[in-house]
Parts: sequence; structure tokens; C-alpha cells
Amino acid sequence: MSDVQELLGRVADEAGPTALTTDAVYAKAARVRWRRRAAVSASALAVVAAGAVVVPQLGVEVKPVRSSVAAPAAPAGASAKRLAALLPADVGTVEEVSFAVLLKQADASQAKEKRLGPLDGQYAVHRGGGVGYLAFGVRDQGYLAAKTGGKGLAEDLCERSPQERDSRADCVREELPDGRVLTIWRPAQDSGDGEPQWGRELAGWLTLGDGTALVARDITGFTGKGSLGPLLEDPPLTRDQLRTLMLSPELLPGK
Amino acid sequence: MRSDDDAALHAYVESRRTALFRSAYLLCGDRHEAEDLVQTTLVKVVLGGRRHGRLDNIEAYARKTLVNTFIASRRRFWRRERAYGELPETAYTTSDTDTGLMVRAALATLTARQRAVLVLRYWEDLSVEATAALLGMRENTVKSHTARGLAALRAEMVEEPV
Repeated sequence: MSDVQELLGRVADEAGPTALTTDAVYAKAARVRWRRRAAVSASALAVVAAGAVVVPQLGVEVKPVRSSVAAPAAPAGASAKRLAALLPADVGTVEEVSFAVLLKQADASQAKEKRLGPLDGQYAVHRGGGVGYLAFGVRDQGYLAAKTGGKGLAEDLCERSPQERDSRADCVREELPDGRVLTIWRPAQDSGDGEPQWGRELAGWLTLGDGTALVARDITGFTGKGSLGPLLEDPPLTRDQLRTLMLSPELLPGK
Repeated sequence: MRSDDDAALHAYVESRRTALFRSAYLLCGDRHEAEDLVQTTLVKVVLGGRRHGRLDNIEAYARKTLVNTFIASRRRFWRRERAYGELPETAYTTSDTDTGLMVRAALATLTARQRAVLVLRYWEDLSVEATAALLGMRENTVKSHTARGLAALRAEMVEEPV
């Protein structure tokens, strides 16, 4: 009955092309998967999206950190939109997530954190069926002192003592004209059997003149429990793109 | 690196989304609803992941999900059937545009399940057996729905000399 098929074809032709993209499908699937895991209500998701903060550790494990100063909570998705506006157009679809929820199965109250920077938090970047992550956090002097045993950050983050276990490959330290120092390196990739297993990443520290620091992670993703999808082939941002983003005033307090 | 299965699934979504959209449009007659229908379907396909196995299993699952999601949507009491287009007051001469209108008018007279049968049999080119299995109905029911659909098409396709 090819004539019937032809008739139906006349109607189907009216539909035109679909506006639905493959990335949009995967982003929606990731959101559904995340909601199922978190098992929180829509209002609790807004709390998580507004408050989650994670410290980019030098080692493998990621731990949630409590900041000292409250920042205003943003509507769910607002931070992701503001971040996406700062990124190259082809980076992929950006959504705000919480490592505490994904990795530690924290609930909304546990994941709720205060943050210092306007875009502090963790973001999933969906691209080509894979999921990478960007994470940002502004760290104040009190936090940095606690993490360094009162010593504060080293003058040159590219210099590591033999006792320090993590490696910083391809470490580039850049002194900016205004006195700030930006350091970007490639941490050693995960080995061993633990979960999660993080993919390749770039890490960045921007020390600010007042003793605070902006830290960033640019990760191909992770596998294991809580994963939203396969790793990206490369981190969401290139080194140059990460540098440009970290120097954006939109990531700093007061913007 | 994505596994081969993940890459195959991604390629499936990329290659089939337009075809599924056209089928969805035939079912519901509205672009926006068709977009929602396809997104719901493909999200379920992606979430199903490696459970589907081979690509032909994915295709069968996607088709079944698309149609059953459409039928379920029509069962909700608050959904109203949208008209496919204005019903012609008089018989038109057969031009492409008018033909489309008449086909839409014919589809609008069918129930959701009858429409689904027509789309699966003649647009997706499934057999009676495969259509019955997909919709969970008897083959005789498929045949009667098919006959009703064809009759509706014939009733609308009235030609008059110019």
C-alpha cells in the first residue's frame, strides 16, 4: 500500500526538521538520572543548586567544604546559565550538579553549602554523549590556612617537595600585571581500584591579592557510582579556555 | 573514551531523532507535542542504556515507547484531541497541500490506537503481527483498526474535476 505511505508522507513532510538535538536528549537524561539518585523534591533541588560547594583537592578524593560567609541563593539553573554565557559556544550543555549528592549520596540538607564566589559550585558539561565537569570555589584565608597548617599557599605551586604525593605535570605559573598569580597544571590521573575514578583534568589556582584564591577543576568526568555518563574525550575546556575563564571577573566575589 | 555501546547509542539518537519526530507528528498532528513525545522517548532509550543490546532492539524499544507514550497521553481525561487541521467544507481538488489537509482530517477522525495502527502499518511498514505485538493487541484488532483507518482516508480523499 505504497499510496497510503505516500499520503502519510505528505503530512509527515509538513513537520519539517526537529529542533530537538542529541545533546539536549542526553542532558535531559542526565537530569532524570540525577533526580532519581538524589530522590529530592524540586524545592530541595533548588537548595542544592544554590548552595553546593566542593574543594578541588590536590589528591584524589573530593570532600565537601563549609565556607564561612553566606552567599545569596540563586534560582535553580541560574548559575549554569551565567556560566554557560562565559564559555565557548561549542563546549556543550551545562547544568549545575552537586558532587556531594552524586558521590556521597548526600541529601539536600547535607549538600546545602554557603559559597563565596557567584559561580562557585560544580557543573556537568554534556557533550557528544559524554559528561565532563567544571568546579569552582573561592577560598578565603581561613580555609587556606586550615588546609596548609597555617603556612598559607606556597609561593610557587609548581614546586612540590618529594614528600608531597600528588604530581603537577605541565605546571605553568603566570604572574599577572596586577599581582595575582595564576597556576594551571595537570594532576596525576586516578589509578587503583577505588571509586570514583576520575578522568584526566586540568586544575587551576588563581591567588588573589587579598590572600584568597579561586580554585578550578576542569575534568573529563568520572566513572563509578554517581556517574552521569561516560567520560569526555578531553576536558570541557582547553588550557587556554580555562585560563580565560578563571580571569573572568564574573567568577569573583563582588560581581 | 566512550565504549562502543555508548557510541552506538549516541549514533542511534543522532540518526533517528528526525525520523521519530515525523512519526510522532503523524500520531499527534502537532509539532510541539511531537517534539515532547520524541524527547520523552529518546530520554527513555538513553536511560535504558546497554540493557537494549543490539541496535535493532533499540529501534523496536524506541518505536514501542513512542507509540505507547502517545496512546497513554490520549487517555488522560484533561487532554483534548487537537484537530489536525480544519475539516474541508467541500471536497477539494487534489493538490499537495489539499491532500495533506485531507489526510490530516482523516487521521483526526480516528482514535489514538487506530491512528497508531495506521502509522505503524503504513509509515513504519510493520507487519500485522509486529504491530499487534508492539501494541499488545490481537492481530484481528489490528486488522479492524487498519480497515477503519483506510476507510477514513478513502472518505476524505474525494476528487472533483476542476
